[in-house]
Amino acid sequence: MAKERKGRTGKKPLWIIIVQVAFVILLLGWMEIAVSKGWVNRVFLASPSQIWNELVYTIQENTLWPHLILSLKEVTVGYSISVVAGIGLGVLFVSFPTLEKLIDPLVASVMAIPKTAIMPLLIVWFGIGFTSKVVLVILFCFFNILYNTVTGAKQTRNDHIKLASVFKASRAQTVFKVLLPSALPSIFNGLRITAATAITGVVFAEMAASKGGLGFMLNESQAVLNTPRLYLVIIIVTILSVLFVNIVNLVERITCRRWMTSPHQSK
Amino acid sequence: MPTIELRNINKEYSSVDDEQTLALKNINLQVSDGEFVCVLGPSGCGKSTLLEIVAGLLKQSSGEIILDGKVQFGTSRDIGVVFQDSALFPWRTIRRNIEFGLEIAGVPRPERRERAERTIDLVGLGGFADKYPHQLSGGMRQRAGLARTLVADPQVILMDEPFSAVDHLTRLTLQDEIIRIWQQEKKTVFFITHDVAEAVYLATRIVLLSPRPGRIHQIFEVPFERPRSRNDAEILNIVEKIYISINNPPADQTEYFI
Repeated sequence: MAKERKGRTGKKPLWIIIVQVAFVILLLGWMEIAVSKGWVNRVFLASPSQIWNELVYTIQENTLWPHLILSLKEVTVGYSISVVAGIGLGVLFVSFPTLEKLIDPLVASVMAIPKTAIMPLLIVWFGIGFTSKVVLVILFCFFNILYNTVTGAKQTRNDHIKLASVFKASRAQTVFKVLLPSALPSIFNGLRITAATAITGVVFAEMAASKGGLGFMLNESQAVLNTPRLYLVIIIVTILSVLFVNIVNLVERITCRRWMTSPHQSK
Repeated sequence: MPTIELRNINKEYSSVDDEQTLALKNINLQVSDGEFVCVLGPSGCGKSTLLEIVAGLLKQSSGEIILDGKVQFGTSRDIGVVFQDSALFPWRTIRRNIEFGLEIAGVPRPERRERAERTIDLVGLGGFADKYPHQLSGGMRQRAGLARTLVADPQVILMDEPFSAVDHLTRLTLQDEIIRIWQQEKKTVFFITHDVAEAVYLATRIVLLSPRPGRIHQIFEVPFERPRSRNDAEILNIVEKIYISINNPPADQTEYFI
């Protein structure tokens, strides 16, 4: 239950929190001093104030927003397509096991390709614009969502399948009223993992070849040795990734909280 | 005329090395309308296999199940099953779990609601309808499982050791409840158990199975009025007889152990 989870972190003794916060403050303070006093080469490290100034600057100059928005669009489109297609094909696989047997080797072999190796080919096929990024995000996310849907459905309790049979449920009724709800926790696990991978995918694709986006910003900052901007973009990407995962958690909690016995798994 | 008849049921399993194992051998049984038949036997005697065959969840190797004069193939809405550990869907409330069978059968929502409501009262779950299964005790969940079967109004109810997962005291209460409901609803019940006292307390007739291969060893009539007392001399007498019978397996079985 969510309550229990809260209880666990709540039990953390105060002194541990104080030590942790103190450590972070010390680290940031050291960064600030080390950079301003020239202890560390400015190419390697940026001070918190430099990063902050860079944030203000990129907002004022309107350089951050276009890149951020572009990356967000690419991620959202790619991720949405992955979710719809992954769960959709998953449902088909679960409903028609013969179809799964037929297509699975093909899907599995495409899945086995390290996705980053396909990037150059994607650029040849789709150019360096929006589409190649979306396709890479799909390659990063789709398979995981698909297999989590299928495996989740396969873990349906035997009793529940028998029950559907005793009440003479049709195939569609069995799939939608028994197998898919059983698969929900596993589906959400897939969505959670891929939420983070989607961000990774888009940044990688933009770094490989693009005219914009956060990955492009990283490349550009590196080329001109703008270290504060590198740090800034890394922080933004991290925040996005955490945010994305938490959106999935929120959706999961809204749909399953009432019946789940623990936040990330059901009985 | 019997409501349900098992005619020469045999069930063979083929194991990995292609060896045939006989799980059930020549099961013949006629169950009349409104009877409460307990199938009793040690684990591994094929009780659950027999129940799954009667339910249509498992196919027999030979023989027939006849319900109301018609040979059964597969599952039937006239035969309900109560599972060992209730098998409620964790994502549905108790009410919606109970409505599941009606929903599958396409019963319109208002009627579904009304019938579920009535059954919820019948099994004593009033006030718990909107809870989720994990919020209920094992005994309550089993009541809900029973309600889900009852609400669909089958002629025959099969129960697979339905009280084996609950504590002893809850079990005694549920036994009384099941008798009350059985008398009120006038269903034919086919009840699997390995508990001799439970069988004698509940049944109108007890079918004792013996293992390897599972077959009918002996049938005991339990003609006593209700409510019964668990410590009645007549009741204890039958319990005693059953124990003696269990300890004296059919002749050919001794051979098996040599």
